[in-house]
Amino acid sequence: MTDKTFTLNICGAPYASSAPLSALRFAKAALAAGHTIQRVFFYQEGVMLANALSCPPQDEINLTKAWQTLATAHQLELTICVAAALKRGIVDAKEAARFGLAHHNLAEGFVLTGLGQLVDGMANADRTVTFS
Amino acid sequence: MNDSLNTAKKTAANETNFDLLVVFTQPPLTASFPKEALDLALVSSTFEQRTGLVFLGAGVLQLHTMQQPDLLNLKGTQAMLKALALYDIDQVFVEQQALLDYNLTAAELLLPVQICNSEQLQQHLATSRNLLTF
Repeated sequence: MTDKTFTLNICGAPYASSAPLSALRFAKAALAAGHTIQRVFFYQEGVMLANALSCPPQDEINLTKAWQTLATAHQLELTICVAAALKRGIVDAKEAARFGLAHHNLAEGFVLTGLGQLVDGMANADRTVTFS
Repeated sequence: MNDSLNTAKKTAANETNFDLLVVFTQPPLTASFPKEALDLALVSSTFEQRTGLVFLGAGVLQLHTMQQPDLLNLKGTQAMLKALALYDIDQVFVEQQALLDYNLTAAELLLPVQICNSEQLQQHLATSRNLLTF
């Protein structure tokens, strides 16, 4: 099979769905097989993965950290829908200041962005795979 | 000869195929899904992607004219749906069987739609470059 580029659209919440873990395993397998991950986009409940304050038990997988590790190793950009994130309480320092919030919690390696990034990712990838 | 025929076929197919079909399967006034689906469709069309909407099953209730979101302190999606044409989204497909199941006619829907049997729906879904289901 010739190498493909993938955009991943992750819509399911960590721990409440298997979406972020399935997507992580898919991404690792695709990269190992020589494919390219063009973009990783988090939409709907998927944005909850970017919560830097989540503290799962030590003997369970920390999905946020697992994604950060993969992103660092392969220079993946973890893009988050800003509207979906704000609605669900995921904010970076800039948005926290804009809304007069006392705290911000966007995990390192994730970036708040617009739906245009998903559309652009879909247009420029061979395949888009949704995890919900 | 064959090559030019194939090219002609491809061009014809490309004119009708979609870059993205956004599929609605959930009833209105429940979660944020319909709003998030519409947001995506509007952005997609703004990026000049050929974008269509498909309403399946309980999703057809999204199009029902007789919704009163105010009673539930909710913001409905009717205004967004009516604005679709302004964003050049005029391809809206509705599952015929779902309309029968909910005893709805095209006259009771917020938008002009194309009513499709399962074969026609399958054709659209199979030929779109991308599908996102909400």
